[in-house]
Amino acid sequence: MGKVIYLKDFLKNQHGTLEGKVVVGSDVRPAQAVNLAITNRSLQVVTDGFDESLALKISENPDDFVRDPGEYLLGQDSNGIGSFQQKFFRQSKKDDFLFQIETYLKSGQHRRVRDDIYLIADELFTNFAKSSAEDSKTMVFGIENDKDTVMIYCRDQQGALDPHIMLQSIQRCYQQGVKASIRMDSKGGAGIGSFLMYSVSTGMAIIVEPGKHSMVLLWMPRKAHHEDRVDMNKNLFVISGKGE
Amino acid sequence: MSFTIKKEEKDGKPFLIFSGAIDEEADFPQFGPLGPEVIVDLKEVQSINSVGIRSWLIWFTDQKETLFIFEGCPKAVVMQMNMVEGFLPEKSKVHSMVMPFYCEKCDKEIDRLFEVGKQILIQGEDVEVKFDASQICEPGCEPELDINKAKYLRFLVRLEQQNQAA
Repeated sequence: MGKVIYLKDFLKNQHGTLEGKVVVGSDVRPAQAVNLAITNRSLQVVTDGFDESLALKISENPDDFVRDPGEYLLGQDSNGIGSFQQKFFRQSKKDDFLFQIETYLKSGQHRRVRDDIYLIADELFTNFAKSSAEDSKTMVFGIENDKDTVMIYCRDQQGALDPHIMLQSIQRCYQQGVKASIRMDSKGGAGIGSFLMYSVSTGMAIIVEPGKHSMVLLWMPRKAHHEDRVDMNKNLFVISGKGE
Repeated sequence: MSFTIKKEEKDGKPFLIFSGAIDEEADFPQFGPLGPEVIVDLKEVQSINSVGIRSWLIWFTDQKETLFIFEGCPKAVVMQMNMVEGFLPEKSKVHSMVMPFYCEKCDKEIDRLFEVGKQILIQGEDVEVKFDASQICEPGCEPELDINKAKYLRFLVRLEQQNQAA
């Protein structure tokens, strides 16, 4: 896993598979990145100047990336902004969880990303807590910064997340529109949460090792307005292990 | 944090005050037909998530005959007005919204309520925002609108075009 392929070369030759590859393209649109990830089980799409050697390093060390994603994605200088981490369980109260995040996000340094991080935290908490198999299993939610970027992640030690379901719901929103993609007759999720998170970010990573861990991670430039980030291309990493 | 809708009367019209987090716990009460025109105050809405968006859409779809006039739209809701096509009911107007400012000198975030047609002016495909910086922060400060104006107010242009076509 982890060989670098240039998308324009692949599209010209249409030879081989992108599975397990780092796919490098310029101006890869958000919907296209999702389409590539759906048709190839595990791959990383990097665009708009993202360091492909970093993507390669992540693909070769997924367990270490899950353990400490900031070590890979963030610079040393946090600009004095502290990080946040909160453990939670299936039975944890979402209101208490979100209150902690709201307090943390009061910093002016987060003013342009505050509402989006709050939404991401809400969606990740709901999805991880709902899909947790046991009351005793811990999940960890975190926010970390460097001087330019804020990174938000949620991980568990269960490894039951299916990246394909997330990607398909994102793809549906791009293809049909958000309103048409909403599961109106469901008492469960609305089916658009993953799209909302992906839209407001400039990078998303879904890492799953069945029976071991799952992580959903998003990152974005802290100084970019919401409405600009929605229009930006996304780097998308999907690394799905085969389990034991 | 829990969501409520209070129903009052303003200028002889039903006046609904939405308050709290619009999420999976939000209970949208059934008022029956609301009449031809209703004012909806959104100033106290704190957040909205994906399930809240669904509840919102279902509730407003049930009131197809009513013209909704939205006041005090906060940033969290404006974000969805732009991202989710059809978020605003078919018959709607936006009367006012919260505009975020930032003063670099004071390192302060300041929210101000601006009215469409007064401080927010839609001119074809463009939107102009008129304000007196001295009224936003302290004297001598130059606070700036902390948004990408054209994109943030894009939904207003779409709404205006939709209302003109109707």
